[in-house]
Amino acid sequence: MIRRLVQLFIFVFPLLILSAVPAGAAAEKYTERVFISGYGQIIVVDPAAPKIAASIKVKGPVRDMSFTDDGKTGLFLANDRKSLYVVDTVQNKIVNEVNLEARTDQGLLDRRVWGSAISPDGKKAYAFVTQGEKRRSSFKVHPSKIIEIDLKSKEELRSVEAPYGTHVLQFKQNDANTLFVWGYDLFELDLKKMKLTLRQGIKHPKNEKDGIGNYLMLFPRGENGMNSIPLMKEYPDGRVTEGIMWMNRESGTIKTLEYDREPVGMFSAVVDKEENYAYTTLNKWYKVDIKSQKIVKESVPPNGSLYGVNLSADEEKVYYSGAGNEFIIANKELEVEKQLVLPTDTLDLKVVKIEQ
Amino acid sequence: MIKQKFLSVAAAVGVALIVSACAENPSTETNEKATSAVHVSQQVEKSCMGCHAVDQGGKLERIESVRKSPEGWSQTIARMERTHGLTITDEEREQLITDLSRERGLAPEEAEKVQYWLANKPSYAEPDPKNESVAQSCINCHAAGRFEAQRRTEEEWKNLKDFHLVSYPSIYLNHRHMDWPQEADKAIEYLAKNYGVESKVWDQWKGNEYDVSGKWKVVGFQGTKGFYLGESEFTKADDRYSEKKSVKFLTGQETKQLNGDMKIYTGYMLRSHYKQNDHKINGFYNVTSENLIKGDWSYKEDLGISGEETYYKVQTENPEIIHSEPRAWRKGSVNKVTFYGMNLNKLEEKDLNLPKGVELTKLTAVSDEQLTAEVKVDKKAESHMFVINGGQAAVHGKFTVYDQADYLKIEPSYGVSRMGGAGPMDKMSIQYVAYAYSHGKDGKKETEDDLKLGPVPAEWSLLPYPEGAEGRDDRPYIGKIAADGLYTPSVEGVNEEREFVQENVGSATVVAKAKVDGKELTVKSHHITTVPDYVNNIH
Ligand code: HEC
Ligand code: HEC
Repeated sequence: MIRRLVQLFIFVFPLLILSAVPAGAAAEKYTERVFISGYGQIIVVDPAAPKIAASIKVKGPVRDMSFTDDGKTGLFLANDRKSLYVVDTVQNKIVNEVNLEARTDQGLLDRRVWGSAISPDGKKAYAFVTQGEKRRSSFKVHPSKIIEIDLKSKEELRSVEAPYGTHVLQFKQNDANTLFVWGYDLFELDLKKMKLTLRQGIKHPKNEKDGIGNYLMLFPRGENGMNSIPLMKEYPDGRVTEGIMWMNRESGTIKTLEYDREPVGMFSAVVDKEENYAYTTLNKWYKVDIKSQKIVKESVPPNGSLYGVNLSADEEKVYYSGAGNEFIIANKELEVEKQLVLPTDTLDLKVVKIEQ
Repeated sequence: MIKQKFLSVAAAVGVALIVSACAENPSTETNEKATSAVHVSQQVEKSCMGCHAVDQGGKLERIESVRKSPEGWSQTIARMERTHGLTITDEEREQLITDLSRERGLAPEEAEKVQYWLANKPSYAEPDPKNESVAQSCINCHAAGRFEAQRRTEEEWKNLKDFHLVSYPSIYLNHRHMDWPQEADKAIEYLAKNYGVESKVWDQWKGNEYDVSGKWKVVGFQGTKGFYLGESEFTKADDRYSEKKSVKFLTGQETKQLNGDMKIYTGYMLRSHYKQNDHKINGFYNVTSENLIKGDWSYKEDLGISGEETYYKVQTENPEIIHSEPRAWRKGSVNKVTFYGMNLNKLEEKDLNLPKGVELTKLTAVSDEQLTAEVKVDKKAESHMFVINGGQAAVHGKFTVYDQADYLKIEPSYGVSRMGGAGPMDKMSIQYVAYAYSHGKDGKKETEDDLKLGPVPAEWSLLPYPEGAEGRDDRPYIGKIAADGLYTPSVEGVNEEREFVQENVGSATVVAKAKVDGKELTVKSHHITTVPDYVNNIH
């Protein structure tokens, strides 16, 4: 995976640093950091330079990343989906590790997390787990569930059974009592009553004529208030379309668009706050005008496929990472401006405003 | 490409995820053990009972509820070692596979259908599973052969669902286009009905064993090189055999010597390991009667270099034809045919019962092992495939009377080669072969009565895929096709010369041109060169 361009970077890299403009963020009250899920480490990037601000060692590839409202604490899933790491994002230090494996009277309860979120105040973590009991000479599957963990005592407080296929948990904006639960369909978890209800059918839509939606939200967005993901839809007449689905995290309203192109299989998408444009990535980069549902600009990643696209905190730049060992800053016309070599291959990137 | 990559990544991660859950807690079923007969064998009791107890029915949990091939047992034992912490020596492993295949193996009839999987035949197009749910939920990660080469109790079929979901919970996501657990239930219901552990054929077979000691004649076919004939002798020592084999291609001069070491599992499954110069060759044969062995072989370092072979026990009584060249005889002409076999000096024209309109006009003995003949086929003879009943003589193989060669087909029809040979991963070549076909009686292509006439020499080339796609031509990177149809992939790893893809993977269209019976024929098929088989515990 570490590809040919690595060599090239060695020459370009010093130039990039020289030409980097110092951060303008100081004028505002936050520090912008990009958290990139690497292999065996969380890579923290200061995008203003750009440079690697820190590299936080964890076990195995990093999966989910979620943050408190103030951005000062992050929750990271790693260790083959078995451990949640609580990270102080100001000091870039691990402050807590919660391992979710458990024992049963017949063996080990192997629990893997597919979707986790830290509460806005940083006191609790929520995790959707699949559960497999590993007995002496056989394996037994147990129902999957969402568990609530007290981060101080590391104790499991409550839990609720949840449908398999779930893979993203995300808090409703400005509402610490509601978790959006993304799986084959969208559910909502009322944390007061610990009750899960269907919010919207996506794989199982109310009306199949609206198309059966299929997405894999390994790259959830939402730090800017909009969670977004590429969506494939299959219609009863066999037609398959590709587009974007996004949700306003405050209102919970979901919108979708379908661009008029052969599906190519995009991995992630980001929608700006104003809902003017969306950006998608994999083997190609698209910029989509949301009103007209048209691809208004397209380009090709410079060094090969990239999984993750995100927007800078001020929404002036487009950031890419995921797949290879690179972080790319492009302008909104999809022209590459800066590239940074990372210590490992990567999966995704999150842009966080850390309050000062 | 991406989809494929993700699947294999998911599987790889899944495998890595498994943790040893039960290295402790050895079984305490010693009472049970003392009173009941030995469970499979002493070696099985010694190696497996630390975790597998004797259940209420008096059976060794899991183990005595399934039957598998030696290959299947070997994979299961490998998982016991890799993820559950079983530690055994090479000799113990070999003993376990021997014992388990003998006591809990497959009957010849059961194994025949999955021979392609047991022999790990390259680019083999497995028939689609008959059951829709099996096709949906069970063959995206491994071949159907993996489970069709097993017999299990209903409970053991059901256990597979939990095994997969606990080992690879990513199934929920990479199979999100369906409801996998539901679909798997239906698949398992079908499999439990059709692949149950109890079977008459097994009860009948179990305990039998062939002895292959002695001299044999060999007929083989290797794509790109053609048919070959050979001599072999097996010598028994304890529970193993050694074999000396020499073979010579009909079109070649050189005789190749192979020395092999082999063993018979389950009384009939002959597994051979040869050395031939620098090559290591693995053979997967079945002894199908006292005087017939059939099977497949492939190079250890390149699965794509492979062939098929049949052994005929040497006898001195009767004439026996083991190979004929050609076996497709054209109507309205005199066909020059060579018969190969044993005791052919004794063969008389009257021994061969030929169909109407087919006449043996000349039979000349070249030696006791070779005859040349002229076969005159009437214009009005029926186009069809037939066997020759030989009276005194035994005649092996099928013969064809045909009108004309109408079209060609390439095998494999979808060639999958793998880069390799640069690191620990081996490459996988492809032996492309062009076969001539006749339309048969109905004069139409691709219908049931079409007649396969045999392999024909062809001129081989590659075209870009998709044809005419501008700016895309994988050919310079992915490998080369030789004059005889042998496709050799390029090395794995980064290719500095290549933009964007940066590896020697890609597709091409394979073209074969041949002149058959004076007619120019051309055919195309699809070729890919893909990544090495990194996750090689999944087949
Ligand atoms: C250290 C514990 C351990 C030992 C020792 C062990 N097993 Fe297992 N075995 C397991 C576990 C755990 C499972 C269930 C999970 C799985 O299938 O991998 C299992 C499952 C199996 C299964 C069912 C797999 C299937 O679906 O077909 C078979 C058969 C089996 N073992 C055979 C053996 C044999 C034969 C031996 C001795 C050579 C052995 N095991 C030794 C732990 C063990
Ligand atoms: C997500 C990929 C995936 C799917 C889908 C899948 N399998 Fe498997 N299966 C595996 C892997 C990986 C192994 C290899 C386990 C090992 O390491 O031995 C395996 C092993 C097996 C084995 C061998 C077990 C043993 O010890 O002999 C059987 C039998 C099997 N699968 C049956 C099925 C059936 C039946 C289905 C459909 C209901 C199915 N599989 C669907 C991935 C899959």
